[in-house]
Amino acid sequence: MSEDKGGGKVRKSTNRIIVSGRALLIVLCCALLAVPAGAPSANAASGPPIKIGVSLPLTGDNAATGQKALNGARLAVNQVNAKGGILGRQMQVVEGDDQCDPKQSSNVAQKFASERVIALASHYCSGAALAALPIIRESQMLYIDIAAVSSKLPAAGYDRYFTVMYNGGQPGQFTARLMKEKLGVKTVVVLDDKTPANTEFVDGFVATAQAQGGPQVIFRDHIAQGDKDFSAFVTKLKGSNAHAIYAVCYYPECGLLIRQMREQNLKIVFAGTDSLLDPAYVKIAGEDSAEGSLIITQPGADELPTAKQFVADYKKSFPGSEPGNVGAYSYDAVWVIAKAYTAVGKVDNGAAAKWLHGLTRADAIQGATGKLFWQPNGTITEFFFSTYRVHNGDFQFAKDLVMK
Amino acid sequence: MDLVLQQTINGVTIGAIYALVALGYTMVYGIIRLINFAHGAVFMWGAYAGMFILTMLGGSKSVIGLAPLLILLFIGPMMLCAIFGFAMDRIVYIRLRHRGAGALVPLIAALGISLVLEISAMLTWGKEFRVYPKFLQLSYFTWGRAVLSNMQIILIVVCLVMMVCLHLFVTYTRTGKAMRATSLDHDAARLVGVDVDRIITLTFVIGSALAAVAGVLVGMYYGSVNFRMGYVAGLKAFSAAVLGGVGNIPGAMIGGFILGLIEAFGAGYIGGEWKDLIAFVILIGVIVFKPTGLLGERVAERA
Repeated sequence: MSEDKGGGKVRKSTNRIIVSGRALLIVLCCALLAVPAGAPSANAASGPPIKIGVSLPLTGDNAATGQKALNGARLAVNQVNAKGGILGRQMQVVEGDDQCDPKQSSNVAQKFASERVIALASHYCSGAALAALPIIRESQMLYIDIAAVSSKLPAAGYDRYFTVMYNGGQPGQFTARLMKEKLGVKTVVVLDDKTPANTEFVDGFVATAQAQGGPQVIFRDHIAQGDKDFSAFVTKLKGSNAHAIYAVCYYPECGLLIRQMREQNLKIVFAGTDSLLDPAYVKIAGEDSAEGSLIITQPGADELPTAKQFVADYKKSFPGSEPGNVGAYSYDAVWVIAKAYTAVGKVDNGAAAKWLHGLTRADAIQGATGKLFWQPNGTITEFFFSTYRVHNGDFQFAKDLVMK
Repeated sequence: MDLVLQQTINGVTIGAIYALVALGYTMVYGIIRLINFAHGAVFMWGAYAGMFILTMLGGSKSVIGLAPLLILLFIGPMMLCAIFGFAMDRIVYIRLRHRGAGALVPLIAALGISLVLEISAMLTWGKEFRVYPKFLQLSYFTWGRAVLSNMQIILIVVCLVMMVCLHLFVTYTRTGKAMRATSLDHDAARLVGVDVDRIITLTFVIGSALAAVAGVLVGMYYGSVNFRMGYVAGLKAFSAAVLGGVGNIPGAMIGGFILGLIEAFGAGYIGGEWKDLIAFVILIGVIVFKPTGLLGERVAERA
């Protein structure tokens, strides 16, 4: 026994010597590496590719949407490069999977910063975008936001932040007008799932409904993400005799909500937002229950008159994939970056942001999603909404509900 | 009035599920004073197993008939989860018991097992929501504006049958008597010839099988399953068990129904975001004024 212990001790101390030797070696290697590593990047200004960071949910619940946005960005980069790149330099996509998770998202932003990514065409979820923003700001990247729509993003006051999609409660405002002008809804119940962007949608809806004198909001309720049973809310909704519900939740909850509404024989107008534009919504709700529900969202590429060329190019580059309602936005985001650098004649984020801020309707960038020019806070000036209706399990563009 | 009736239906439906899952918590606690946090994950596996069977056999409803399909749909997941319960006790808890590990070690082990079950479900079935194939034509009974579906009737009846069977088993069979004896005192039970380890394993097996039934019912009723579904359901069911008096079988049933009704009326008359708050405030209130839960005398007796 004692021999054993002694042996152990000897082994241990040899280990320690090996370990300290190894540490020394690592330190030496680092020192050796550090010198040449700095050298090439110093004289790199003319040649190396311009790195564009694309941080999106590539796994998890929103992976399908994230992949479409990534495809859109890739397509734009390939087109820019085919036309000779920016000022003779190629563009390069650096992708990051943020999973719509704030923690992952800030890791991705850190990775971008350390890889010297110069500009971002990024983010689908507002939580993820908000978590990344401080890091983006610190490394002074040009940040074109694809689809994170919380008004907290422009409110942060970063002067190199631009959106290509609407921002804040605007879908809610539009829905309130749609209900009054097109659907003739008199009374409505509103519901959100307490997530930042979705709460803003409902705020926008309520404010507009009050300002335009209808529809009358009977009550506002909240659900929690992950809940399965909304039967008590449905009964309360039934008791309110409302003509419609504006429900702003993601498809796992909204799918169950409409299913439970139909199960309690409640057949009022159901209006939701872009997260429901996903086949999973119909699957969870069941085809019968989802029938007739309205989805108010930014127009998908197919409905945009300006995106015909984009849709054709996208389908050619990614056979079997549809651009959906994000592909065109990430595509435009990359083009905004390319056009800004080209216009100012250098890869300079300060100058590029200044140039973008200076654009007006007359000299706006013509993107796949429309005319791109911005408000002083970086939010896009012109945007549209369209309405889809679920019919036989498909999403159909509701031509009868088109509204300026 | 019919809306009050509707809220009662809502509350009883969800309460029946809570009660069935709560039984698993309360039986295990009653017998070895362990809060088996892996129970919610077993429930989730039951739901997935039901989905699997329904996907495999759903098309053959016309061939084998509805009744055999329903029986298979419940028996399959019950057997799978019973195996989980058996393995859980035989591989992990029994060793900890025999080595005299304190109360904390099995608790941590339970958390570990629940993670293993959850992540293995995620790797098997994926992260996204999976949908239960539709196999039952819904029909409805209405009183004024209140609606009760045949699915809700099936759910409530199956839960009640399970609870009554369990109650009869524990009260009137020899094994049930041995279970009650073990829950009172392990050593005394051993002295009168009870194989205590076998009884404890059996408790895990029965509790897990009941969780499987609840899982299948939830899958059928709500239509979609996800690997995270066991966490919240487990927490609620555990609260129901505590509310009724943890360790007490009728207590778990009553606790489940009360919790379901509190949630339904809380969400219906105060607001959806207050639902959980109200439920847990009442729970804390009950524990403060009656630490043994509503029907908790028997716990006090054992302590």
